[in-house]
Amino acid sequence: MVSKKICLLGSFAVGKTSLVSRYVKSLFSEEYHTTLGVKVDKKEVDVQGTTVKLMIWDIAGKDEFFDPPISFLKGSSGYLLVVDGTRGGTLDVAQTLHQTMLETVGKVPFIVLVNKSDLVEEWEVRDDQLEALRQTGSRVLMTSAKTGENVEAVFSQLAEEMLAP
Amino acid sequence: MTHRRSSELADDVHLLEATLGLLNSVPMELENDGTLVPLTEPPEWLCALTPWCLDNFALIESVLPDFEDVWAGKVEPMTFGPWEHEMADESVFLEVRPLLCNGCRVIVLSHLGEEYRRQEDRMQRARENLLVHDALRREIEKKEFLLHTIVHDLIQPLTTLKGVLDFLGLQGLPEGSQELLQIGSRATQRQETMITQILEVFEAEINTLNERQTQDTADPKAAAQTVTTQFRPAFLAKGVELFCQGESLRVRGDEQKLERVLSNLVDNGLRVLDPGKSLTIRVSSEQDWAQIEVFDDGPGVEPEFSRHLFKGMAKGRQGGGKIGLGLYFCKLTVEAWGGQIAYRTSETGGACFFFRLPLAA
Repeated sequence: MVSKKICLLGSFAVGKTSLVSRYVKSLFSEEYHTTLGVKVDKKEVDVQGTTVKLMIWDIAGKDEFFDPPISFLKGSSGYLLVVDGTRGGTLDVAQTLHQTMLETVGKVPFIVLVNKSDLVEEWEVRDDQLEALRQTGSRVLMTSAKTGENVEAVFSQLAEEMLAP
Repeated sequence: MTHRRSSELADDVHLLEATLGLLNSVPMELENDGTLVPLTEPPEWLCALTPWCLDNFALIESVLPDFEDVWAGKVEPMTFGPWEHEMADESVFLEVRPLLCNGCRVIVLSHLGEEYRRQEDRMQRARENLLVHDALRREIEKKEFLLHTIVHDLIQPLTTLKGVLDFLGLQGLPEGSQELLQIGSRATQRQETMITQILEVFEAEINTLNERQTQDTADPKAAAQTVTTQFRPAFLAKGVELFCQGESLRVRGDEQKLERVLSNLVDNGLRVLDPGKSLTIRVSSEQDWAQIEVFDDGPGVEPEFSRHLFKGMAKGRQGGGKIGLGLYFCKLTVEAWGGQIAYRTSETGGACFFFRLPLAA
C-alpha cells in the first residue's frame, strides 16, 4: 500500500479541521475549535486500482501567534491551501504559505480551496482575485465543510495527482 | 511510576512494545532533572495511545530523517510537535524529541500536561476574539457605506432647498412673504441641525471600535478655549457669563471631537440659563486622569430625568427643539476613548456634567 502525506494549510478558522472531519468522519460542527500544532488523520482511498493511505496533516492556522514549522511540512506529497471566502485576508495568508511550501518541498500537487461556499453571499474574496490566482497555474475550487460540497472531490483529485507519474 | 497492567491494556502494551521495538528503542521516562529512567512498564497514558502509535507509525517514520540529522550531530536538537490526538472524550497533546544518550538513539514521546491545555484555552480565546473583531469590522464597513448613502440622500435636497430660499430672499418679495421665507429658513436650519446630530451619533457608534485603538492625543484646555471663543457671542447676546479654567493636559482622543463634546454640553447650558447666570468649563487632573467639568448656576436637571440623560433620544423639558442625541454622542465618544461621563448637581444647585479621560502616556 502506498502512503502519502497531505498537509492542510491556511489561516486560523478557515475550516481546515472541519474539512478533514467532513472527509474522514463525515461530520460537521458549527463550533470553532482551534488546532494547536498538528492533528494527523488517515484515510485509505482507491486511486485507479491502487490503495493509497492518505496521511492528512491538519496543521494549526498561521497567524500572529503561530507559524507552521518547517518540520511539519517536510515530506509532503501534496497540500491543500484553505481560504475562508468570508475573510479576504486569508487569501494573502494562503499565498504566503504556498511560497513556504515551494521553498520547503518544491513543486508538488496542490489545490486552493475557497471554503465556506455555503456563505457565498458574505464572501469578501472576489472573483477577480480567484481568476488572478488561476492565471498563475493554481487550481481553485469552492468547498463547504458544512454541506460537503467538493470535499470528497478535492482529496480524490489531489490523490490522483500525487500518484501520477 | 507505579502502573497496573490491566488485562484490557495488555494487548495494547504488547502492541506498544512491538512499535517501540520497530524503532529499536525502549520506553523511558524523562525526569525533572533531565535524566532518562528506563521503564519496565510504560505509563498508563502511553498505553492508551498505543493503537494510535501503531496507526501513525508512518507519521513518526516521516520525521526520522530529521531525527537522524540530530543524532548525527548535524543539526541542533529539536522538538517535534505538538501532535494533537483525539482520545475517547478529549484530546491529548504530545511532543517527540530525538536524544542521544551514551551513544544510544532515543526518541522521547512526551505527554504535554495541563499547562499546555491552558495554553490551548488561551489560544482559543485569542482567536475567537480575532474572529469577533473581524466580524465587527465587516459590520462597521457595511454601516459606513449606509452612512454615506444617508448623508448624500438627506443633505443633497436640503442644500438645494436652502439655496432656493436664499435666492428668493434676494428677489425683493412683499413683506408678508419675507416672514414666510424666514419661517422656511429657520425650519430648514433646524432640520439641518437635527440631521447633523443624527449623523454625528451614527458616526460615533460605528467608530467606537476604531476610537479604542486611537493613538491621537488632544488638549482639553485648548478644546475648551476654542469652544468658549465660539460660544462667547451667543452667551453675550443672552446676558450669560462664560468661563474657561484649568490647565493644559494631553489625553487620548481627537481634539475636534473633544470640541464637539464640549460644544454639546455648553449649548445645552446656554439653552436653559437665564440672563445673569454663568457657565464654566474647568479642566483638572487627578492621578492618571484628566477631569473636565461643565457646570452652571442654572435650574439643574429634574431628578427623574437625570437617570436617563445619556441615553439616545433623551429630552428634558427644555429640549428646545433638539432631538436628544447630543449627550448620547458625548457618552459614545468619551467611552470610546476609555473615559467616563456623568451628571451631578453643581455646588450652586445647577447642572454639572463631568467626564474624565485617561491622560496620554
